[in-house]
Amino acid sequence: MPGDAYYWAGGRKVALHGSSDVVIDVTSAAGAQLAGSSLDSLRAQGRALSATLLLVPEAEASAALGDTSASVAGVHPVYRSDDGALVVVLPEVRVESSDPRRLADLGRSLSAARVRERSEERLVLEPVSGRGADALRLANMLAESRAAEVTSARFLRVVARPGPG
Amino acid sequence: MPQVLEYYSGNRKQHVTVQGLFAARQSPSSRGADAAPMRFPVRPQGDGDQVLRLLAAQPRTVLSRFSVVSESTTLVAPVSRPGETTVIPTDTVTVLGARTAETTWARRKYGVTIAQEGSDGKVLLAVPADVGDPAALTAEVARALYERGTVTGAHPNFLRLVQRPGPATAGASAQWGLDNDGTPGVVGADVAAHAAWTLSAGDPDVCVAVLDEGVDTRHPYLRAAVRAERDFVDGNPTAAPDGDDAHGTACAGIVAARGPKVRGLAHGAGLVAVRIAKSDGGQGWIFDDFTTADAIDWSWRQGKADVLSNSWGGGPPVDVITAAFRRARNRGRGGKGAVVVIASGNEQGVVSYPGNLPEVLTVGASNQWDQRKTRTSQDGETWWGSNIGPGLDLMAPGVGILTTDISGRRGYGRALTTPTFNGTSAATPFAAAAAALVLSVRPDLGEADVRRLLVAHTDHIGRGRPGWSRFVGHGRLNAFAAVRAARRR
Repeated sequence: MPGDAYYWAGGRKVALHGSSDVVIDVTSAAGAQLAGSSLDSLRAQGRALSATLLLVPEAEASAALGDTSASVAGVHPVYRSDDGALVVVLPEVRVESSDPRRLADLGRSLSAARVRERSEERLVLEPVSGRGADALRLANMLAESRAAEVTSARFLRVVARPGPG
Repeated sequence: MPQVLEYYSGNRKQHVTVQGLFAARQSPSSRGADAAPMRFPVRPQGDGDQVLRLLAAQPRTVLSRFSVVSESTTLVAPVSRPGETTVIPTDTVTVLGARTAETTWARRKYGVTIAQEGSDGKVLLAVPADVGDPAALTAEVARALYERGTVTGAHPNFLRLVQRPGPATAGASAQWGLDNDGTPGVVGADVAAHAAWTLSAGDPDVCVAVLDEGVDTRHPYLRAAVRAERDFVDGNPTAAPDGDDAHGTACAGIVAARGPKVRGLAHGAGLVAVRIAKSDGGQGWIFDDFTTADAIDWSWRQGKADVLSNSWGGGPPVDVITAAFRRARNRGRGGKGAVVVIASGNEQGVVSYPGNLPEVLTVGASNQWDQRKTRTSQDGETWWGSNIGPGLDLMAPGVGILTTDISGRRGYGRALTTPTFNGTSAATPFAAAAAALVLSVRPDLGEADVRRLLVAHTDHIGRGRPGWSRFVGHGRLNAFAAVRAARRR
């Protein structure tokens, strides 16, 4: 079960509270490892957040993947925010800066991540591990070193659906 | 015995039979937006009885209506009743083309004061507070000024019982957010849409982006408005929603619907449909922060949207979305900035992210009684309340809103429209549409100018003093007042 965590937004630390769920990317290594009846069983117990992302209880994921579940690519942590929204950390970090040289230097200096997309104002990084938890760590490290103006790990959020009650 | 007022119009003497008498007055200094609640100690007679009592019961919310009737340019056709026209005299006289010497003469002879100076040489004069029959005196002053031959026109300033214009009359009574006839609620607890439409119903080149769970862009009430669309969730060629995702279509209708049953506040403006969310099959809504940020960027860059309407929120703040909104405000509209409008949220708590960002227009919900929507407000929707606190800018109608619906059995109803849309989700597109109207008459304005105009020309609601409050922001949206002020700016 992922414990509490944090990230940076607007120059402040924002708390994330641990949950008993994880998300499995069925197109990843974890998905491949689970192919077959395990995946069918997890699908039955979990909830599809998209065509490829499956929200499942972490205990079930561990049982299916073994003790190594936490280190398998494609298993991503799930948190709750203060207002109750579900937050899934996906394996991607976006870095934005008005200084293209700074971005270029940053892209060259990182060994734990590869550059997936590059433009004059933006880098999209992907942790080599393919894990959301590492994206959060990388984003925090970059934010704490003030590497760029904007550094965000990719969140998928599930909020209350508005509309007539 | 009904009173008859005599005055000149079109170089002829006119006679108006008074159905009711507005006998009270305010001091000139209290006529502005900061005015104390008006009182209407009326002497109702005949057919005017009902409307006068309605006005008397709801004094605060008619302030903006008095602004309307003080300008001849914004008057619309009076209701015709068999054999006569119903008007309500006030204690004021409209004078056209008056020089200072004429108003000075009128002040000395009758004790009138200048209540308001309008555009194009119009002056509104008020008769003294202590006069016994102000309506009769207004007619006398008007006649005297006209007969001196030195003004273009002079007549008592009437409050008229007006008929709503436009082909949507049948549905207009249900669209209380546009113009509220008080059934139920309070007359004037609305955004003053029909008055605003006398100035603009939206320029087709001014576009509002609705960032939501998709919009039925083939909806017969919406398709003519659509200028661009994109699906950031599934990459489909259109922004059409999935399954029962009807929320975005309802929001879009409030902005741009042009149908026989529903009319959007900016129904002449363009619509940009941007799909950023989908339901999780239950009570949740799924967003991907990165694609949401990309959608915000696309809305003003490729979609050419002038206003971004965001009826979504919740969850923690992230810099990537905050930065995207900042870019929209700074770089949209060729550097003049796209106006970012965001819902405050429906938890009756504090304003949620991203509505709590600075320099966006954050919108809460009011009801038919001009109350802040709470779980105990008069509307009876006990399951939600509008979020409050720092960041809240203004309120707009958000209860029982008639708007467009996805067709078929997966919509909120089974028809092309739904009468039950609600939430700050509904309030937000009203404000976004009002921003589009402002930009339609003044495309040169910067986004901050538009936000300032909208909040500076709200109608005061709530029990507190006029000005910003954490419960209702600056007050309830008045699209007419904002557009009029923009035009004069």
